[in-house]
Order: sequence, then structure tokens, then C-alpha cells
Amino acid sequence: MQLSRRRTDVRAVEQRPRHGWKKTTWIWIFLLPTVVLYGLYTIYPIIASYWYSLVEWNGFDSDQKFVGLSNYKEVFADPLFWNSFKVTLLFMLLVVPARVLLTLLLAMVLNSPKLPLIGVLRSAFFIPVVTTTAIIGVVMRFVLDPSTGPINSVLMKFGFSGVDFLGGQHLALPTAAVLYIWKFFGVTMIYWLAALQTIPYELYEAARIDGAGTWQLFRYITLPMLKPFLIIITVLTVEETFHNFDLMYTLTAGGPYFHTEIVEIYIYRWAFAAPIPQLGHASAAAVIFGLLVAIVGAIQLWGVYAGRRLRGEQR
Amino acid sequence: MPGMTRRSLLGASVLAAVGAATGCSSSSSTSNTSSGATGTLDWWDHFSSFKHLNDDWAKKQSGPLKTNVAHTYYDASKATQALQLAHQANKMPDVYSNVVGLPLPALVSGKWVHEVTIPADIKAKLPKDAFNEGITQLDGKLYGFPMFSLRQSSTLVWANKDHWSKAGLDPNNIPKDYGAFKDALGKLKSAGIQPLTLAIGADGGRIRDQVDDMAQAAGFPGYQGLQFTTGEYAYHHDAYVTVIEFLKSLNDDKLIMPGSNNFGVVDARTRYASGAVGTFIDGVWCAGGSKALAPPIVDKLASGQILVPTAGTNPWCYRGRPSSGYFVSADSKNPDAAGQLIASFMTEDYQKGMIEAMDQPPLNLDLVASSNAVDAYKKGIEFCKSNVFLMPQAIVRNPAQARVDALRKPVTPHVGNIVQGYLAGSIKDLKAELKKLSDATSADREQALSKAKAAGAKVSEADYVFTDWKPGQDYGAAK
Repeated sequence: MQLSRRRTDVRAVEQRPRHGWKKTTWIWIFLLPTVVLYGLYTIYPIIASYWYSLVEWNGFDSDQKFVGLSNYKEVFADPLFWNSFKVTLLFMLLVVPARVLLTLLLAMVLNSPKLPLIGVLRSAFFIPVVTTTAIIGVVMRFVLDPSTGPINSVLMKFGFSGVDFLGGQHLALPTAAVLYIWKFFGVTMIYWLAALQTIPYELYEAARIDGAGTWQLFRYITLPMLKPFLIIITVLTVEETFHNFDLMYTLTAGGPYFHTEIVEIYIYRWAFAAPIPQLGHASAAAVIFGLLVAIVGAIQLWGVYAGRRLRGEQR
Repeated sequence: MPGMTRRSLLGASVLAAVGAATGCSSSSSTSNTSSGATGTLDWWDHFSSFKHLNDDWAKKQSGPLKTNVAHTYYDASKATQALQLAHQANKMPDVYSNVVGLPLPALVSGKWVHEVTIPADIKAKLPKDAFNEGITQLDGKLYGFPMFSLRQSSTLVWANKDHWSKAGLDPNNIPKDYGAFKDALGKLKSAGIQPLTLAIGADGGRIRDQVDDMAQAAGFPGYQGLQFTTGEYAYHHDAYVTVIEFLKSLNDDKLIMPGSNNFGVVDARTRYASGAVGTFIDGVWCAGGSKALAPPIVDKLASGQILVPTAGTNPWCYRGRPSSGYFVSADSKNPDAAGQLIASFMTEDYQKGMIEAMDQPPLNLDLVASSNAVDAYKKGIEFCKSNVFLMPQAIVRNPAQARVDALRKPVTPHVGNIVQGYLAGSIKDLKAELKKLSDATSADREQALSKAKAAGAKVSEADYVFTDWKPGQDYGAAK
């Protein structure tokens, strides 16, 4: 059966009108700028960083001395690299469950046709997403200022002492996590809204006629129907939390004492903030971090595949 | 003609990318967009207090230099990156301030700098010790000259006169020792004023410099952990421990403004300039920097000396020979005009403007007393004039040490990070952490020395040992 389908495909290609090349050429010409820019600004830097990770180079000299794997050895031996690795993973663990589950609850509320001002509410939750992350970081530093910020002013008015949200060793990371969740709440909410809208309304109606309550609707219809999306959304959110340089750098710059130094800030510190930049060391750290992201990417692919399979089963 | 396939698209993309990359590559030395070729002399720097002065100076110099002088200010934290990118793209400005951070030999070999010729009348205005092999010149060729005096400090006490008076304190008589200073901060707190802020946050770079200065004033016989007489690193010296424990006690007693652990320099200075805090520890340039942020602060400025542990201790500090303030780019199409622009910074008009901007002090400190600068600035300069001395330097003894400097790597956590961690409670055993820093810094110097020796440099650890160093005087002055 497969063989006959292939034959049909071949015939279809042979029967394609000869002027078709004009159509496809235009498509490719319009794609060309994207491909060129993607190559220059994404593919080329990735390849270059692999080379830089094997050389000793300060970015100022023209000399790049090949040192083999010695940069990798130094990175692996640096406790602050592992600290940044730990902070990155901890941040992910703080952010992902809250972001995925809370946005699901919110999306279910915002998906209700009976709720008034749905459009306004959806927009309100999405506004932080379109605001520049670095601006949010700078503004939030003022909002959370322990002596002059509005939050602490209110706390002090009620007799509490000021809280150093971003300067305290135990508070800085959770504070950054809460801000990150708020900033990107809208993205995950949109994913869930899209997923919720794939569930046929007739199912709910039928269940209600059969006497199902709110919890039963959620337990036996919503949740099973959302399972494939849960995998994809979770994996996407995990991947997103690894790229948090702008917010974290503007909020804390990795402090106090490296308690919020995620891997991206570690790389930046070695590449640009050192008196004599160490691009080799920074690139080695970036390659190792890239491998972590690649592993998550592979899981992401698996998630998409698993999600499709689950949806297939449900049909 | 067959339709375009994905494979041919990728091929075309690679060709286009190569074409674009070639266009951006460093081989296009005859580019017409280069600053010199278009008749513009580009001048970049990172001096925020001099921004207006330099904008005006660029306009003034366009006539005499017969070219359009274009001045661009870059924030200090961005300037290095901007130059890094400009160098790789062959778009270097003709004149730029010295923020690259590499020793002179590395700048020369990396084709960053051009030799300069200074007119005789300007050269006569510069002190003889402004020219040093390995710092401002190499193999007899001059690459620049210092703009600022070595007699300056990052660690003076700056008070807000109104707040100090309100607390019953005399802002013209700021305490000099730890105990009296802490008492004064306590009085500010009792008067409902935030007593003190410091720039402890960001990368910890400023507090690192300040702890180094305070350790010298507390008796550390060296600079940045390196002891002059032994040539060994000793961050775990009692002087460092005393200074950091003092800062910790201020923090524990809530005399440091909450949030200071996360403040960069501008964050902390903004609090001081806006009147949100009574006291700020900052460099001599605090006057100019604060004025730029909030002009009304100028009338409220008062300054005091670097703090010492006990009354009567000499507040002596030591600094190295200043390096060039500006360089002419190796790619400059008009190096003569660029050299003349740099030389113009030594004219009376420019020097006067520099002093009035109240940033780093000029080479000739005597000009400050008769200037229009505020009294607090003049007082700070007077203090530095009498208490900051020239220190011995391995690079001056042996210019080949510049090759070692170029091979040094950052050691983290540095003193600034350790202060941040100790104040936040992340570090429990301060002395052990400082000892680790001493060991790590020694190991880094060792690796740099080994690599430099292997590359043929005649250097040794003995270059760092100055057994004839005496406290309270310029090194070499007695010879």
C-alpha cells in the first residue's frame, strides 16, 4: 500500500506544471534574507563559539592561541561555574511548576464564556509580556527598593521593617522568580487558552446533562484532553527559563555574592566584565550550557512527539 | 531551468553570508567610511563629568585642527565593549580614552595604538615621571601621557551638610577614625536620616578598590593584596580583616542603607546626590559626579578623609604611576591631528574646565586651590596631595612584566565579592576566604609568569620584591 502511495507521489511531481519553478523560486527568494541573517547571527556564532572555546583569546589581541581542552578543564574546575549551574536549575524548578499550573488555572477562568470583560482581562495579563524585560528589571529595582520603594513604604507604614528583596541571600532568587513568572505569565496563559479551545464544548454539555459537576468536568474531561499539551507547554517553559539574562542582570547582576548568578551571567562576566576578557573560558562555559539546552531541546522534540501520539490515541 | 530546491537555497545563503562576512571583515583597510578619510576626527571617552566640557572642546578644536572633531561619550561599563567591537570591525575612533585594560605592549602588538608626538611646550608642562617605559612609552616611542594625578582616592567620606547639621554633627569636621565615625552615623540614624551608603553591589569592583585603600590606611604595606617588601599576596593580612569587620559592624547595626549590597556606583551616588542618605563613601570625583546627577547637592557637599581604625593613625595610601589618559588609534588616518587633540588637553583652558568639572584631579594639583571648584572638592584634593604616595611597581622595574600582566586572569571571588558575601551572611569564615584569595591570586601570577617565561620574557618573582620601600613617602624619592 505504501509502495502505491509513493508511485502516486512521483507521478504528482512529474505532472507538476513546468512554470512551477517560478513560484517556488519566489518563495525561496523571500526566505533568503531570513536564512542569511539566521546563518550570520545564529549559526555562525554557534560555530565560532566552538572554535573560541579551544583557544586562549582576550578579544583585543589578534592572537588566538590554541589550547585544546584546557578552557573546558578550567570551567569544570571552577566552583562558581557549578554554582551558576545550580542557580539556573534552581530557578527553573522555582519557575516552571508555578508558571505552568497557575496559568492553567487562570486560563480556565478566562476561557469561561460567562466571564465579563474577558478581552480586557486577557490583555491585562498579556501586557507584561510585551514590555521590554530590561525595563521591567530596572523599574522593579525601584519598586522593591528596601528604603524608598513603594512596597517597603507600605510595609513600614504598618510597623514592619523593610525587606531587602534583591539584596538578601535567601530572598533574591525567589524574588527574581516571582517577577519572571509575572512577566511571562501571559505567554503560558495563551498556550493554555489555545489548548482549552481545542476541547469540544459539546463534551461539557453532554457531561452536564449526565449530572457532572465542576470538579468532575475538570477531572474527567479537561485534564485528560490537556495531557498532550501539558507535556509540550512544560518543556517549552523549561527551555524558556534558561534564557533569563536580561531580567536577572538588570535586577541583581548575579548578586548578592553569586546567589543569582545564572549561567548566562557567568558567561557574560568572563567574556565582557573581566578586566582582561577571557573569551575562550566564556565560550567553553557557553558550549557546555548549550549542550544542556540541547538536551532539553531533545526532550522538547520527544514531548511534541509524545503529545501528538497522545492526541492520536484520544481520537 | 529547474525550480530552486532547499539545497540550492542553502548554497545561495552560504554564498550571501560569505559575501556579507567578507564585507564586514578586517581586510578592507581602504574603506572610505573610515573616520579619517571623511575628514572627521572621532574622539570617544568614558568621562561622565567631562561630557559637556568635551562636547564643547570638540567644537573649539575643529577650527585649529582643520577637521571636524566629533566627540562621543560612552558609559564606562559600555566603553570597553564598544572599542572591542570597533577594533574588530576596523572602525576605531582616532582618539579614545584608556579603558581597554591591556598593558601597553599588548596594545602595541595588537595594533591598538599609534605613536604620538607632543609639542615641546606641552611636554614641558608634564612632570618628568609622567613618561615611563612600559606604561606610557615602549622602546623609546611615546604612546600617550597621563591626564590625572596619581594623588587621588576612591575612598573619601562625603557628607550632606544639611543632614549632618540636623543630627547635631559638624559637617566640616567629619570623624576620621572608625569609632567616632560609627558614633556619628548612629546620631544620623537617631535623627531619622539614613546614615550611610556604599556601592557594594554590581560586580563589587568599587567596594574592592575602597577596601584596598582602607586596608592601606589601616596599615597594609602593599597594594591590592600584594605586599611591597615581600612580593607576596596577603589578602588575609590583619588590615583587610579589620576593614571588612568594621563594614560588617556598620551593616549589623543597620547603619548602612538597606539595598546598598545591591547598589552599583551610580545607584549609590544617586541616593547621596538626591539627599536620601546622609553620608557616602566615594572617590574624589564624587563632587562632579553628584553635581551631574542633581545640581542642588553642590551647596550641601562636605568631605572628609579616608577612615582609619584608630585616631592618630596616618591615613597613608599608595598608588602606581598613572598610565596614558588617551590613545591615538593605530588605524587613525590623521594621527598628527589626533596627537594635537590629545596635546590640547594640557592647555590652560582645558585644565581649568577639568578642575571645574570636579572629576579626577589634574596632574598639577596646585591649580585646584585657585579654581572655582567647591571647597569640599578642594579639601579632598588637599588630603590626597599630602597622603597619597607613589608605590613601587614591578612593571617600572622591569617593563617585560607587561607580558605577565597581559596573561593574568580574573580571580573570583575578589575582595569586593567577599565583602558582599560577608555582609549578606553567605561567608562565615572571613579570614579563611581571604587566605583562599591570596592563594588563588598567587597561583594566577605563577601561571602568568610561567607562560611569559616560556614565551621568552625575562621576568621573575623577584621583580615584585621591594625591600627598600618605606611607608609615608614616594617610592624612589629618597634615592
